Amino acid sequence: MSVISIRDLNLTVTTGSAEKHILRDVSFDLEAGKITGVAGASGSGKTQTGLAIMGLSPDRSTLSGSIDFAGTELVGLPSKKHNRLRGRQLAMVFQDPSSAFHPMLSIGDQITDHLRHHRKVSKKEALRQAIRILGQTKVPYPEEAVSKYPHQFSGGQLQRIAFASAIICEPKVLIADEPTTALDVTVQAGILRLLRELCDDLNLAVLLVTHDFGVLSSVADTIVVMESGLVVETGDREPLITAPQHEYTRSLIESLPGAEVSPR
Amino acid sequence: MSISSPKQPPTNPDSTGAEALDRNPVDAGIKRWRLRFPKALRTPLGFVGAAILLIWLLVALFAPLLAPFDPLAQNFGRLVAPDGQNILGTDTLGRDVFSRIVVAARTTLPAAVFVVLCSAVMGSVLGAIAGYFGRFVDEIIMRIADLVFAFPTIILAMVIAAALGPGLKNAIIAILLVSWPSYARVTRSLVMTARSSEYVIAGRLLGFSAGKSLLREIAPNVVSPIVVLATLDVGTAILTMAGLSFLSLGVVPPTPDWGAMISEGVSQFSAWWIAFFPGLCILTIVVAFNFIGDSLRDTLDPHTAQEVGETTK
Amino acid sequence: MSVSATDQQKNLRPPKIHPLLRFVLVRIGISILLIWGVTVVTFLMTNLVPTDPVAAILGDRAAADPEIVAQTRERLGLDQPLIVQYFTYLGNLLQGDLGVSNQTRVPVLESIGQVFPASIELGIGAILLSVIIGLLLGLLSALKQNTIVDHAIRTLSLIGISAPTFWIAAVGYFVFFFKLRVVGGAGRLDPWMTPPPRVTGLYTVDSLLAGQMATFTNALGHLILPSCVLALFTIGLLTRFSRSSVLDIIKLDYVTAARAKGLAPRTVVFKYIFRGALVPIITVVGLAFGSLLSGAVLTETVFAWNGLGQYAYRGATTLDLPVIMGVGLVIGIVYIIVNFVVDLIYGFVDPRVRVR
Repeated sequence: MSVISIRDLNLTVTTGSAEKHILRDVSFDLEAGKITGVAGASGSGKTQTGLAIMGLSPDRSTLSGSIDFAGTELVGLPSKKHNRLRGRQLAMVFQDPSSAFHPMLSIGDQITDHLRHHRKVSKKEALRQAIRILGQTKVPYPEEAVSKYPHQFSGGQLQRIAFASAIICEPKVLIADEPTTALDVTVQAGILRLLRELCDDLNLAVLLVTHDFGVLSSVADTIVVMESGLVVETGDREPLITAPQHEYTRSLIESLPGAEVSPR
Repeated sequence: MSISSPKQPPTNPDSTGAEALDRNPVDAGIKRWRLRFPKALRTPLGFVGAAILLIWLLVALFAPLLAPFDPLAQNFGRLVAPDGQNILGTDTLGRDVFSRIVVAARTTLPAAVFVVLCSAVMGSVLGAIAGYFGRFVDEIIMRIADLVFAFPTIILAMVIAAALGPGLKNAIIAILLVSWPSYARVTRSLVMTARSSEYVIAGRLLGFSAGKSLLREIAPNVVSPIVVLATLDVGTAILTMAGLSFLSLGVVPPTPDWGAMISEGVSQFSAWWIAFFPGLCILTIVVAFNFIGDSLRDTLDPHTAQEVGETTK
Repeated sequence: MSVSATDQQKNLRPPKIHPLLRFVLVRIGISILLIWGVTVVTFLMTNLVPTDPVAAILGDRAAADPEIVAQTRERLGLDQPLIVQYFTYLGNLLQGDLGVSNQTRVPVLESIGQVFPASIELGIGAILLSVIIGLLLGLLSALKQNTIVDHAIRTLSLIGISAPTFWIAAVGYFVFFFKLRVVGGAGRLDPWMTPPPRVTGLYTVDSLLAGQMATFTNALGHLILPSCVLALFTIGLLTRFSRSSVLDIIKLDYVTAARAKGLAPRTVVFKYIFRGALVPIITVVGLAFGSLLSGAVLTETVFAWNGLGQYAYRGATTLDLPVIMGVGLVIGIVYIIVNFVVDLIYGFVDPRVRVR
């Protein structure tokens, strides 16, 4: 059962007199408990797809088509109503954890302010939940972590905190925009494992956006390949990797180290 | 919000130093500048600024023709309100305010431009030396600059002008001494950035000498921010000069000067025209330079614009 | 982009001294060096004078007598090498001796002590006005980027930093006092009012302390116009700076992240954007204070505001060098101290400096 179904999504950005088509007739589904990976080069529109679901498309841009979220149409949804879904039903994790947190606010404050806003829980209760959720995302010493500041953590730890912040309101959808790109290779695998765990345990519909096909081949259930705003190929991981239909997909797979040697 | 995929880090690993050198930064820098300069004046603010400045240039140029009376002659009744003959009234000594205002433009405008040119050259050269050679040369120059920054501008200018004695020449020296450091700072930081950039390193690998690479490759990158800074600074120089005249440390009477006229008018509140019109002149001319400078800065790339800053005193 | 490597280094090598303490000590050191530099500048300026200071002190007739001149030179230590003279000067400064006014024969420090509170009162009023108005206008302008509101605010702030302050003072005085009578006139109080008993030297504060409400409202009525005039330039400055600062912050990921959490727009603006923009703005407030001090020297005279500025104006117009140098020195030092305090605030506000 799909949690989000995107149909014929188009995004146009107007700068001055020039119109730029960022997304062209994009269609795919996100399903609960599954990771849908979107692959593509930078500028292929994969990030904008995620932002469109969040209702954070750039100013001066027009969105058309349909994003159905459990019966709610997200395209053209008034920003106030969209805001009620953001953070609560739809959550997002960003590429660079070191810039995704406000340097002057404590971790505890930043991962609970939306919980307090959406659920109206007390400060004390929010902190208690923060500690629990930090434990769930395997941040070391959660009790101390809540009173620390972003600069006191490593990139990998901060990304775990970002995941904690994303799931604290028990959302249905999680959009992870290049969550491992800015991190050390050594911690990337751990973050992907965490993503898989959260997806399975919380029955999340995950949209994993990345330019790294290697990442998708290890965690995604379904893969969507995008090129300059168009979806060129969609399919389950195994068949798509072993028998790519589109030339661009093939070139992505071939660019993986050792891809030709072990097609699995 | 940037338009597409703002999350990608801007890396450009393919451009080697040699390729960058091929682009010939001298020509590129000058060409870019030529393209941008008129573009800046096409913004509403830039256009208004340029128009006001043009008017003032014409006024300064044709002042003797425009001034109906001798600015020094005490021909009229004292404190005559604006009328058909003295369109902006007369001052405490019975001199025609309009004639004095027009003639004063001839000293203020060239003096301000001159002092800014001097301090831009002096500051850029010192900053370039500091940035290029580093070490103790850098330390000495920049510590002196810090010291100048330790005073509010007009206060230091006042101290220097008072020590040298009143007069236009000394006022110019005082302003020069207080205004070079902002150019030195900007140039130094731009030179330090440019020095470590690929094409300059490539140039040095190809055997250009230090001085040659400084001139040939760094200078074009430094010129446009310095011009922006200087444009904004002409306004500041005019304000500082007016301030010194107001404190009787600038142009010596009876030579007409806007700042001194305001100073005179302040003690004669019933004769509001003595102070009002010279102030309006200062305001419009400073506004003109600030409008132009602001529009020019908008055409700079964001990084360089940051060097020039919102507040360079 | 990973911090893990440096994390390990941190654990291996615990800092011997708390970073905040280190930060404060470094700032104190820099400030002391700058203050020393300021004394060198004023000393050099005093000795750079083309006119002979002896002549200025003795007057024409006595200066014609070479013996008296020689005696005076010796008495003043002017026959000593410059470096010795400097240390004598520095020694005098440390004892609070800034010299004596050539005009009034009153010690400079004594006069400055008397007029200083008046300028402080004006300065505080103006800085409060400019910080509050400047930040709000800058924020509004940035949030409404490229709209009519933004263009209007940008244009007005540019005009604000283009107007000569002393002229605005004269125009404001003429319109609001001379014509409209909506504010108090010249001076810090109406002539028939007696100043409140001196505690802080700030009339508004002192009158409140003494419970004299009539004096308070009168003092406030006199304070309002000069502070507004003085604030005009710094409002322009701070508006422009906070606009660009907020625009820098809006682009950052953490703002998008905050919006993605579905927080109220108000929370995003004030908790995330404004707080982030505030750090660079704080550093400019010190700079703005410098402009205020400059402005005060030029405007106080217009309002007959008996403060440091009017004292400096009188000194400048009569070429009273000890007065000018004394004022330059004091303003230089005040400016350095204000910037030191601003740096400290910056350190306390930013957890990256505050917390290890």
